[in-house]
Amino acid sequence: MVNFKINGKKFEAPEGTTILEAARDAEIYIPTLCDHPDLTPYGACRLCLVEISQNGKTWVTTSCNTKAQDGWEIQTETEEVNQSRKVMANFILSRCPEVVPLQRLAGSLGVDAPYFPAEKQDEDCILCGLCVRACDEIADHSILGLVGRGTDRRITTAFDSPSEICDECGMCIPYCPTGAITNLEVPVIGRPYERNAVRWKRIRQVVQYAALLLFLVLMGSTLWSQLQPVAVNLSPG
Amino acid sequence: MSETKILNVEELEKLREEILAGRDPEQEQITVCAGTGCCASGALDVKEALEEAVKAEGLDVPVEVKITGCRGFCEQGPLVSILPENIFYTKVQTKNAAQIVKKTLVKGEVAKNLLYRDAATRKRITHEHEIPFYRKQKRVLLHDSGLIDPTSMEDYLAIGGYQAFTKAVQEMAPDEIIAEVKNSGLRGRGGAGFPTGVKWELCRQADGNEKYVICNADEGDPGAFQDRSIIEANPHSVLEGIMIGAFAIGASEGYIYLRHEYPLAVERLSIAVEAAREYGLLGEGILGSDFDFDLHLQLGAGAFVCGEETALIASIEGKIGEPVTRPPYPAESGLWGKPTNINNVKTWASVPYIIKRGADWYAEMGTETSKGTSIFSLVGKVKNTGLVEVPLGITLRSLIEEIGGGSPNGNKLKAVQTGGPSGGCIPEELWDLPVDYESLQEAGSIMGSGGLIVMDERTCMVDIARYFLEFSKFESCGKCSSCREGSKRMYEILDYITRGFGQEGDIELLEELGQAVKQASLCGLGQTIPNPVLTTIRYFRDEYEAHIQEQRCPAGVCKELVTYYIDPENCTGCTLCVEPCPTNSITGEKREPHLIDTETCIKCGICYEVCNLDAVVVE
Repeated sequence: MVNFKINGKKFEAPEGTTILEAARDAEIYIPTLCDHPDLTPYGACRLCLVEISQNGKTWVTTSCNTKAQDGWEIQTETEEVNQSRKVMANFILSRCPEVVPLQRLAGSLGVDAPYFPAEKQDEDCILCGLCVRACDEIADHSILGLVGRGTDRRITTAFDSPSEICDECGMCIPYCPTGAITNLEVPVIGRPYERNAVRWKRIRQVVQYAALLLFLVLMGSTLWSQLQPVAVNLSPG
Repeated sequence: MSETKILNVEELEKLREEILAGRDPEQEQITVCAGTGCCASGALDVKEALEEAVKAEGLDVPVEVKITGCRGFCEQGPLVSILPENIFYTKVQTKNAAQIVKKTLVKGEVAKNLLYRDAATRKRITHEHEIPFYRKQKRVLLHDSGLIDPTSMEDYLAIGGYQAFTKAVQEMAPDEIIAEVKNSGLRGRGGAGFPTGVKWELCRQADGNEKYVICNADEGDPGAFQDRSIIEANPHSVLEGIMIGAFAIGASEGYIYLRHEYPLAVERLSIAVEAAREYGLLGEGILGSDFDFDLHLQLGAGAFVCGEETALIASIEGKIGEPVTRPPYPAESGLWGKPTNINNVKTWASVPYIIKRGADWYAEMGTETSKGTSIFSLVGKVKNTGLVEVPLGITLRSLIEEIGGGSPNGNKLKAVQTGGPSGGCIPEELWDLPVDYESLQEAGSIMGSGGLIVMDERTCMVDIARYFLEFSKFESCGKCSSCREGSKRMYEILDYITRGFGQEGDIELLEELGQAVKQASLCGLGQTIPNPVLTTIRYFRDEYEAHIQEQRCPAGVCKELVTYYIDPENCTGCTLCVEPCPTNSITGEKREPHLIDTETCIKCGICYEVCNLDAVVVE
């Protein structure tokens, strides 16, 4: 067991408990976007910052992947921490300005509108990696992955190739905090796959309409021929 | 079993004696520096030309022409030494080969035209150690670089190689080795400066039988080439250091993580590891002891962030090169989840010298908290660019002005960037600061890997900050939103400022973002990327203000804020600038003042460079 304090309140938790877990149990709110109790912490969104002090030393770190240790005094809402969270929220909202849950979270941290222009106005993936972890740990498929570095980073399948497993699985969808993955038509992730699917859809539509047209023409001609007055041969014999 | 395999320490000493007995210290020898710098200026051709010249001359005694590692004075390459007189020739070309052989070897005279000429005294200098560039240095790690052939195990044994290792294995217990390293005060030369002995002890005390040592040779800072140079010049010193460390920690396997962009270093290190294996210095039961150790060479795939230790470990494991949160530190759970000790090339290479000469000798050099020597790559606007090794605690001024020789063209020097893209710019007023971990940190910079980029009044500090941010933006792994988005947004703001679109409040915004990114980022890269921005704002705020308020670049660098024109009073109409202008924007009759057409001028600055009369003005 380890003993520590969060916001002055004494805590006792089993070894290996993260600060965020302890805070959640005690209903102390720490904002997060990339953490989920089912999945391994990753530390990508940098919103869950807290300030830790021990023996006169103070430092700021993420609470999701830091295990609480004996003697730590943790503050979740210092001025510095709030300021950094605000900047991080601004960064994330500026990336995806149209995502409602992000607008709400950023608003609660004091960011009313994104400060920076978005590169892609309809971007809705914040690269938190929850879907990748869900694909690895929950679905055990390891199909999704992060590719690229820095600003080129994105989430996709290997070589952007479509995967049949994705058609049926959908385990990642509930973990996405921004609704970037949908199963209404085809998963958005893996762009060539999407393109292929759209092509098939077009072909299907054309075929369907053509079939409909053919049916109508046949029906029409049949009806037409039936509506014609029947020539009756009245001549005897 | 190969024949060269050495089974015990006695055999090693016997081999060493045999090598030394076969060598005559009085025999004439020509050494050609074959570091990357000298190779680029044609050192290998010079070597061939010298060999041919020696053969053509048909001397009675055979003269050996051999290559050595980097000698640091890259500016003056290719460098050639004549031993045993130790005559030091600079800027040797293939056409000089015959002259060297005929004059120096046959007649015993010095070829004066090839000697280094000191700019201040205008005198020719015959010996290496008399040159001001070398005089102020204290060369420990680089001492042997110019003496031995990096591809030859015999050369390394001849200068007492692997003596420190035999001493460690035979005479010292692991705890004694760690105590010795602790007493020497050696700190991590990768930049963070964590005491090496303490790091080793933590790893030794960690639970588990299987432990690893890693050598971080993923040197990626723009302008830094110390690790590369050590590996290219003296790869066995690094191997010996790693072996001593592995013995002290109790590791039986090690990795050297080397960037694949260093082809020569890869080649020479592979030769060294192969040779060590062949001689039985790597493998099972080394030199008859019960110490088993083997080394693997792992090439990096080109990501800067893999120089960060947790990302490096992930990369060796075959995962994405992405940092993970510490704790757990690698000393508890590193490579494959086992206790692992990572040190930089320079740290490992220092170990054999400490073991051989003792901790007290090492601790005498340096300051109270930063002991020993360190290697800096001195580049930018200085006369003598190259690698310098100095005791820590030397002032920046003596490094730049005495060893570096000051400005090459008389421009006033303005600042020095230490520690690469993660470091900060230190202005000329603060150059009396001693170079040690704490002082640099106080000034807002870091020691980093030891790159020193000197800037003069023709360097725009906003542009420099923008350049480093562009690098960081490209090299950020993209995991943390703070580093990925922060570097991008700060770069955008700086880019706007340098293009004249800066707004009031941009400086404050940059400071705000910088502080937040510094605090919120996961790894060392993210935490330090705002440094170039924050230090340039701290020391050169006036330049930022000039860009934002007056749309003016005081250094005349930011293209969209400057115009080039010709001062008719100074222009004599020499037409020197007309020819090189790529857009033919300069017109005028001979002996009449010329004119630049600002409509077509692309502001390349060539006319400014070629004009001898200061007639081209940038404003």
